[in-house]
Amino acid sequence: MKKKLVEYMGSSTVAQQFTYKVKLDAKNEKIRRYAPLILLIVMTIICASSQKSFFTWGNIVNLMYQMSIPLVISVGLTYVLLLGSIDLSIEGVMGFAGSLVAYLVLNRTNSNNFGIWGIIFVIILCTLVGAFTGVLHVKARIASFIVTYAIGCIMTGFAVLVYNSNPIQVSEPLFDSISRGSFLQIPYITLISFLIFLIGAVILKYTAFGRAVYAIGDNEVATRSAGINVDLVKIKVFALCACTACLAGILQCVRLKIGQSSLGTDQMFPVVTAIVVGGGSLYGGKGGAFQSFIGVLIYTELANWLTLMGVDPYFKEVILGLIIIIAVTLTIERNRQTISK
Amino acid sequence: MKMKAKFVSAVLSVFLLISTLAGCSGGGTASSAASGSTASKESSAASDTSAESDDDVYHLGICVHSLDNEYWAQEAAGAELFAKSVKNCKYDVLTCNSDDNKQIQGIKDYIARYGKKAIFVVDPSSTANTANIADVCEQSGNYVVILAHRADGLYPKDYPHFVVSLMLSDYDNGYKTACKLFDSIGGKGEVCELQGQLGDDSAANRHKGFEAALKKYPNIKCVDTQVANWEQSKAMSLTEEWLVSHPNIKAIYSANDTMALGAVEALKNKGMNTKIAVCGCDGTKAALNEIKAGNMLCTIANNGFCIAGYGASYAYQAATGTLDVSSMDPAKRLIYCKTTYVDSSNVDDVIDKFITKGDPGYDYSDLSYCIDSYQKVS
Repeated sequence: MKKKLVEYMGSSTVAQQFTYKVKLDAKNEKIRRYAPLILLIVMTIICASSQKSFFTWGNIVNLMYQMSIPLVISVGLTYVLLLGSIDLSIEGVMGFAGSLVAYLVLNRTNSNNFGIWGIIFVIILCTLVGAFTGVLHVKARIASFIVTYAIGCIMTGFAVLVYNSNPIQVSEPLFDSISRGSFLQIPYITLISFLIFLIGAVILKYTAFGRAVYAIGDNEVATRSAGINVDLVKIKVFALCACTACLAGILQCVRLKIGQSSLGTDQMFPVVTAIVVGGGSLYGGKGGAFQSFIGVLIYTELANWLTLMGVDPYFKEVILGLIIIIAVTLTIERNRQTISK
Repeated sequence: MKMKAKFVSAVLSVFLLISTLAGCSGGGTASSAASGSTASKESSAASDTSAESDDDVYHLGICVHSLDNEYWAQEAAGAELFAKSVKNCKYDVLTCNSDDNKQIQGIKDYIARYGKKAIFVVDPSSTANTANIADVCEQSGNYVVILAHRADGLYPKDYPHFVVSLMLSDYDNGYKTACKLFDSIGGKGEVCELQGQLGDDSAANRHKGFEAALKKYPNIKCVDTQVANWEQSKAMSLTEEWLVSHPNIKAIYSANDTMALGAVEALKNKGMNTKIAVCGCDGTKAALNEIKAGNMLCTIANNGFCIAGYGASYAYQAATGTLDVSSMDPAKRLIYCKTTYVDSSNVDDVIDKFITKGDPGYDYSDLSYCIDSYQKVS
């Protein structure tokens, strides 16, 4: 530390000082970028060495199952967090999508049998709901956490109305084959989630839309003056997030074969945590699909490992919380002025 | 811009004024607005007898958390069945979304509206709120029956209008399902336990029942116990992990049906659903279907028709004078209500009565029917 300071202060010209600062920043950025990956590798080694059943194929399949739904949620949420916003409607949308899809496909409550068309209808409907959320956010200028919370409540209400307090059991054979089937021993659900993730990652990295998302998160005013339609980008982002939340809800329904509002319960915050652990920032502009992927992996592995170790349930939550704090402390960027907003 | 702001503020103040005025104009309208979602219905029996004067009509306030949960909806249905079984009882369902204040407010509003003719059957928003509910009803002299929870130190004998406390014995339920589960695997082998939410008294008591059953069966080894927060998806993940870490388990004890369904789905995916026994508790429709299909061993239906229907009947009979509360033995005002054990032998009958017909056909006038045992007072 002292050596650094001497080097910094000792530089004779302002130009030299500036060059040094840029170098230091770049170095810090590199560390920050790879810290989650290193954490993942270290954790995997610890998990594997402390619990011999961790690296069995059966458990790896479990991990793939368990990461698939958080991964799908993370795709859309990454975009929203990159904007510096938050989407609290995810759980409501998931519950609604799961309930409605159970209502529309072959089930034990009514005689509906819309099959794949039912699924497509639900996806379109939820995407429109997301777009509506976005419109409310940018046009009525309501803060994202309020408008999304409100929409989340509405969707939870609609979800309950769909099944009228009698959760619908799904008997659709398509759901059975998806939840049990696998290709090269990789579960279909995981393959679907990887596909959704890949699409999300490509859009974020290689399109003008994706770059605009980063730009808005970094500096909205500058982006606006550069002639980018910020409002439209934001609406699209909320629509995308609702779309992935909807897909997650449908996958949850496929896995559990039941449609009820609780399909979304406790699904969002673990993913927000995972994204932050992976190196995303709640202030926007930092992070990306790959970082979120690493974060989801870290979180899933951790929860899985704690169960395999047979940790006492009373301590499990404590340990999980502590490890998250440690992970975020290691990976978060600290050169911003404000701590929280 | 300024004009617009002025306009908006003018509209808002008018709205505020109107709502304040409406709030003052008589308890009747205000109460129904304040008590949130009030599903008001008239009992068909009562409307048939139009000659009945309004003085003789009792108003039953059915207070439940919300109707989005199968069990609470069943409680409401049970109390409604009772109201329809007598001539002079109208009813309203008051929901509170587990909010203590909202529940108390709903009860006060209902009393303001119907005076002494209001009677209540209440599934309290929380255990702590039971004392407040008893106080409110005592002050205004309205008969009340409180279901499923009772705060420590709160006894009906101290309240002339708190008719009875009808509870469900979570300990017995946990013990009974665990014993049946252990019997089904021949009384020996490895089992795992899915617990409900930490800090929840139902979860804690069912867990105690499970532990008592473990002591009775020395050859049963519980290899892991985990908390799945009453949630299906968590239970499913935990079960998947157990199949890897404890491949020899023969049975999974789940503290409720929702978690049991998660375990069943995980087992189905691995083709183990007939090899590993699962038990639940609560008696949800989905669980009954799984028992019928042979994927689940047993559950205990908490039976909202019974507890809330008879609860309503106790309150009504106290109000009409059929039941003399003051002469009741104080110990007999602390009741554990009957529950219904369900396995493959009676599942068809239970589905038919509870789900298809939505009416188990109870005679709500016979108050002794619902009594399973009495609560022990320490």
